[in-house]
Amino acid sequence: MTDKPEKGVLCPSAPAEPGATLIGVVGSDGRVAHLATGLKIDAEFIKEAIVHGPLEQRYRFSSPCQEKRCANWNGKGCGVIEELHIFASSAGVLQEAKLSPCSIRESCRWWIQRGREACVICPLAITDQKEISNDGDTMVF
Amino acid sequence: MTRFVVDLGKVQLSDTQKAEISASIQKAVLGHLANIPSASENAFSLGSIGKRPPWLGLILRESLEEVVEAANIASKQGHTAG
Repeated sequence: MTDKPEKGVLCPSAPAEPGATLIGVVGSDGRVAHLATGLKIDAEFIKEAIVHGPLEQRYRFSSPCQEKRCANWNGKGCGVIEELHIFASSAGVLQEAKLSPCSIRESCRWWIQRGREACVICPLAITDQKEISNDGDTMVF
Repeated sequence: MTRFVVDLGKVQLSDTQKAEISASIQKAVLGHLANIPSASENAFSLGSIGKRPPWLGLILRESLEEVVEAANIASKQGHTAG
């Protein structure tokens, strides 16, 4: 096994950087509304959007999964979705049946690891926060 | 679901022109999404409005007959054509 990330697998909770893909917008209910078509962002988008606050709190972005190069890699997979899964299981939110549309599902790291349950959890997750919050049904990560 | 469609019908364009138009459309959309103030102040919802999703955008056809035809197709699919 090499340190080279598996080709084509995408992180659904990536930082806002030029070249990343906008895959979701956080709605007024705190849930992520996924775009059916991902939009590649550039420096101009970041410059314009950052005026209104931290981007990761208002959007979700995707980039290639960095695997071992990422602090969230637990040695076998993405630790973020595993942590979220534990929280979601205890909160009883995995019962929802209908999946929202997603522009990256087939290549998504979370989908690869947790399948359908990852897609139930995903709209509840907001990227790039320091700790898991138990407030409400939005998992801030 | 909110969907914007630009249907250029039979207008002939090179691959470069198509790519440039696509990039421009994406840039325009991103420009608007960039200015959402915050989640709590988000003025729009990406959820469906009414029973059927709106289908907003432009349909460029070479003749009025083709516009009508496109509108009829869109109507059958439950969308509004303009």
